[in-house]
Amino acid sequence: MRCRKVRWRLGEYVEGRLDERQSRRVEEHLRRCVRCEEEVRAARSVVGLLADIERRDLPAEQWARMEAAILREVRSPERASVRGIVSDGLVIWRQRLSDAVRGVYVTLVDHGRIAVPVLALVLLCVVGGLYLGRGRGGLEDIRERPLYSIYSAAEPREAPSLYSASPARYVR
Amino acid sequence: MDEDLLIARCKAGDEQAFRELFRRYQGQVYNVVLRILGDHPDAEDVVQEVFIHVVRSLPRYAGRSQFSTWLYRVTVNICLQKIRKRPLDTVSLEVMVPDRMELSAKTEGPERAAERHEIEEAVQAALLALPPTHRAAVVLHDIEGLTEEEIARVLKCPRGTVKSRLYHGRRRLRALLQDWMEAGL
Repeated sequence: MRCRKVRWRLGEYVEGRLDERQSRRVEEHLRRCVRCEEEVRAARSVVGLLADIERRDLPAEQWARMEAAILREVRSPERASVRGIVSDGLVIWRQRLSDAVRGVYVTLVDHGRIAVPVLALVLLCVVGGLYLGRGRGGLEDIRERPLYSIYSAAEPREAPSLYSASPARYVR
Repeated sequence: MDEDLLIARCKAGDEQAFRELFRRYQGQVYNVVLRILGDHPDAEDVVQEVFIHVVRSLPRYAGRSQFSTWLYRVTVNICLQKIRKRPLDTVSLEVMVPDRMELSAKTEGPERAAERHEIEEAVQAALLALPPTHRAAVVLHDIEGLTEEEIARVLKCPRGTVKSRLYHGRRRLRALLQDWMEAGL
């Protein structure tokens, strides 16, 4: 097992959620790799520190005040305004977009070995395509020709019309 | 009272049922808010906002996910909204994780209590240094004890994303809390 795979399963290993076979493979790797062994030790310490955090509570009277305030608020006839709903929706979509961008970034960082050559290849294809397509009718060429010529080399005999006097031409 | 029945009664507008629901989940919501926003003066207002949102949205809750998962989602979304609305308050470029003072780790009594308090402060400061979505994943997993699948449902993202946020979040915490961990706490 390689370091990358071990680190991907680090959390599950530390929490004892890996099955016996996977756990044994991780342990075999840890015996050979000092850096991963150090990562596991540090991860255990962090998990331990976080698990030791005590839960906080508020005094009973403060909870009672809050409960009363919530009930007062929801009993009032005013409901969330349309503006509020729209603003909530925008915030959620902004969050989703930023998550997606971050997801792509994390994937690129995590799988740099694969992602970088793939990106380079895509870039090469785009640049190559632009270069090769240079002399063969680019945008300027298209703009100069009538619209129909983009789709067919032959000039149309006559523009078809729904109101043509000789409908037999369109039966075929 | 059975949770499904409690929720059904809340949906029907039963105030007594809401009081029961509030008492059952107030601690969960309060602690998540505290850990995501820090010891913020608005934390109690945020808890209040979460429950007001719950009451108003409950008719739309279809019961497809567990109620606690839905409640975590509402809580985390409101916290993230708060962070986004005033990013300069919560995001500092320089992380102020307190240094470890020379206190004996093994003593009991007031000194030990003081040290526990210090550790908690250091952990909280380090948590606040994480990007909010990483922080939410770490809080839900390592403090609240949710599984990666549950967090994926709460944050509405793939499990791989949760795993990645947990990995990077813990890594950053490790760097920030190095001093405390070396002390063998």
